[in-house]
Amino acid sequence: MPRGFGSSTILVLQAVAGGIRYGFDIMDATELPSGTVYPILGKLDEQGLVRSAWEDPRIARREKRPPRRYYTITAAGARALDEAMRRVTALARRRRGPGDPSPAIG
Amino acid sequence: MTAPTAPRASVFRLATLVIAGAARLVPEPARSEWRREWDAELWYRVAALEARGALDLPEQSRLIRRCLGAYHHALWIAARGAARDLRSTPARSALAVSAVAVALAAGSVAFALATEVRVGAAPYPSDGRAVRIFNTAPAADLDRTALSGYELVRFRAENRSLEVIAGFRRARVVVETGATRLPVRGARVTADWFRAAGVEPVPTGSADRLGFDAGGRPNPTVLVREDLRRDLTDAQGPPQSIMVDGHRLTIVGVLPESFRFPDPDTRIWLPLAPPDLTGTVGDRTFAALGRLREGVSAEQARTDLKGLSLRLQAEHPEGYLAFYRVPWGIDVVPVGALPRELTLIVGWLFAAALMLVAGAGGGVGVLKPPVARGRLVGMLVLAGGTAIAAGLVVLALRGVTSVIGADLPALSRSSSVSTAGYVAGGAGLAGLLAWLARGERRDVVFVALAMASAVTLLAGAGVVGGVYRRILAVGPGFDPRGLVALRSLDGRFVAGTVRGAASVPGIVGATAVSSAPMFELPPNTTIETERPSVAGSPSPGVDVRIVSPEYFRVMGLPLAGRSFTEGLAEVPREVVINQALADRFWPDGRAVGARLRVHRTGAPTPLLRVVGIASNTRRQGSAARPVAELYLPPGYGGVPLATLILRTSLTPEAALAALRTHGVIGMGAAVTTPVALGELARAEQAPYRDAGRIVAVAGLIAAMLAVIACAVTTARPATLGAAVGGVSGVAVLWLGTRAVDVAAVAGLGITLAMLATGTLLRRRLAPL
Repeated sequence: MPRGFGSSTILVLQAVAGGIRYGFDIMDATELPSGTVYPILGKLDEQGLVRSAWEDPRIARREKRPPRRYYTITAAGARALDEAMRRVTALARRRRGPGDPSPAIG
Repeated sequence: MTAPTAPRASVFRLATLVIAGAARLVPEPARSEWRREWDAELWYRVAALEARGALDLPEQSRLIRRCLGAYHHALWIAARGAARDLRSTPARSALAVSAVAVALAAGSVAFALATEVRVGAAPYPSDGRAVRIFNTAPAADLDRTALSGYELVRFRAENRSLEVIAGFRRARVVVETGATRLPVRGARVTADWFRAAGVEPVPTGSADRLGFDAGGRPNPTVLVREDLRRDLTDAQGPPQSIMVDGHRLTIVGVLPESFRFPDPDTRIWLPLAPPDLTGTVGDRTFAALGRLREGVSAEQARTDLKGLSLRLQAEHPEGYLAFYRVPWGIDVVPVGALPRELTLIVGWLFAAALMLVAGAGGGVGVLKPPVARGRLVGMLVLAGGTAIAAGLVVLALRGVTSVIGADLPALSRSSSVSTAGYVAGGAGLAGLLAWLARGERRDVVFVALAMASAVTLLAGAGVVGGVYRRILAVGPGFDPRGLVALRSLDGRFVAGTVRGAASVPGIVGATAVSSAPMFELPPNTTIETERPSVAGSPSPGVDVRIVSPEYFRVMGLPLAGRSFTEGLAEVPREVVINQALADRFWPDGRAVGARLRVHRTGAPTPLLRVVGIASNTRRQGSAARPVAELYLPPGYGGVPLATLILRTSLTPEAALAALRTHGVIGMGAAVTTPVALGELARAEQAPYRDAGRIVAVAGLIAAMLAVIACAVTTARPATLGAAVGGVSGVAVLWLGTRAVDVAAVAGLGITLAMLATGTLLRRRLAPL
């Protein structure tokens, strides 16, 4: 898990990995405020864990709306998310004991 | 999925405006993409909600909240961009950080100075040998207090470090000549006082020793300052004699207008009888002024007098320790040093000059590259700009002080030299930085300098403004509106006079007192409590006033408990104390009902029961700490109630005329010219009010110049500068005012103003 990976970052990365592509939709999915989601997306983009791109302007034109920016997870991002999830699960198991079910994330 | 139609809701327009505002914070290269993303998301979300008919009030509110989060996002981008810039150029970063650190250090110094601001001695041209001598008792939280006559005589006779030690007391008098009546602040001084001060009054023809006979006893004479004599001059020329508090006194000497001691507005000096050894050691009523022997330092004099003081303490423990076991010390402080207020102003001059020079040099460097391309040229531009800026700042300060009528000392020669030194230092620093900086870095240097200076000024303004605000918030302790005081010159005001005065039309209340607050200094003594006090805290001195029972009501002085019930003829058994005294001896709040004894050497004194606690009053202006006070009923110690205080809707002169007309005061009875206590209270606060205005102007100049500084730079330094300015503004204003809400709003305002104006001006200036 990269340094600085907090629970909010994991939630955002998990949402993007789950196919939620747009900023406002990620806010809906994670229930995090915009002032948290966008800086996290920017940081993940810089780290190469997500990739941002603008949708095809022809589609936007056809639908008579401005083009939207979308985010997709990269292979490195997927690995980082897996690693983060493993660590969180291990931490939760250590706290709850070996017999307890692991908590859900997200 | 069906494409939504374009949103029409008004919330969309509002949210778009919110995002447009946030976009201003995003540095230029990233701004357009940032705006597009937010606009598109907003468009899509509103349109989708409209299509579903779900754009209800909660959804609208949620949308606006999300758009407000865009500010957080924008600031995050701006801060990361600035941080990246700083990381990529460590030397430039070190320079910027050092400049801000220097500014913060300067702000700290300003803070330290400001907390020390007190009403101090005013400067006058001095050879540095005049010193003030104080008793101190740090354990009793007493910084500087007067000497007793006994101490003065013994110090004078036995010290080895001072040529002369003189005593003085501050006074307020009314001067009359012809039709002119003028309340004037003055001082009563002993025979050697002017010699101690190191000034020589110009004799006006009289052959006597400037107010004293050969034995040092006062004659009916007076010395005046040049400007007062000018004010009193009429068609017959300068007056030879004047009426002072109803006594005709001959003017025997004139002091130059530049002599402003012991207070800036002292304009008259009256002779004071010399101290003798008959008084008690604890009766500390003489302010002391000494003159160092040639080659002796103030430190040596302090050591010398401390030794003497210890000897006196061993000889007269009752006068020093009394009930309180606290060691006393001596402080010797040179007179004529640059006052702290002026030091602060010089500091601001330095900061303002530095900022202006940075503005001049930086502006030229940024806007006109060919002029400042050569390093030497840049340095010369800065140095020349410094000189011009310093001159402008001095002129502006003089202009401001004259327009607002501030009673601040003019910039003396020594302070001008200091200013020149500071400005030269500032020019050197600014020039050096400009010399070291090249090309595009010059604007960063400029921003760092300007911001450092702005922070310094804002720190000074915030801190000093806070100090003055607190001083101004402190009233005299009583309600001075409509209070008029006059003193009998030939006796006392008896109860009948007080009752008679209260029945005169236009006068709603009357009371008599031995010495009125702000009008006269009361005598000082020590007390002991019947039982050891809870805190056992020591008390060096207590001011004593003898007052008639209705004193507290007439003065509007809040009283917990009650006033006296005894009449003049009875033996006093009751006492009222003030809050400062109650806090010192009965911190558990059980003062009422306790008993105390007023300390008088060699005489058994009765125990007095505390029946009331009065609010504190300020003896010498609102800047002074409240002193412990004791109110005794009429008849105590045979002290006359020589001052009559009226609460009236009449003018002071009309009130006196009414008293005479109604026979309350005989037509021939000698009384001083009545004085309105409200005017005295206002006069006490005037210097702080004036200084506060100057502080506000300095703060305003700082903010404006910081805005200009940001305006002529690129986006990222401007954003960083604005953020630093805002955060620092919050910090220093909070330190100064301790009002976090005011500081936060002011800091936010400064930041937004800097950003908005900077952006605007940058656009306008870009074509240049």
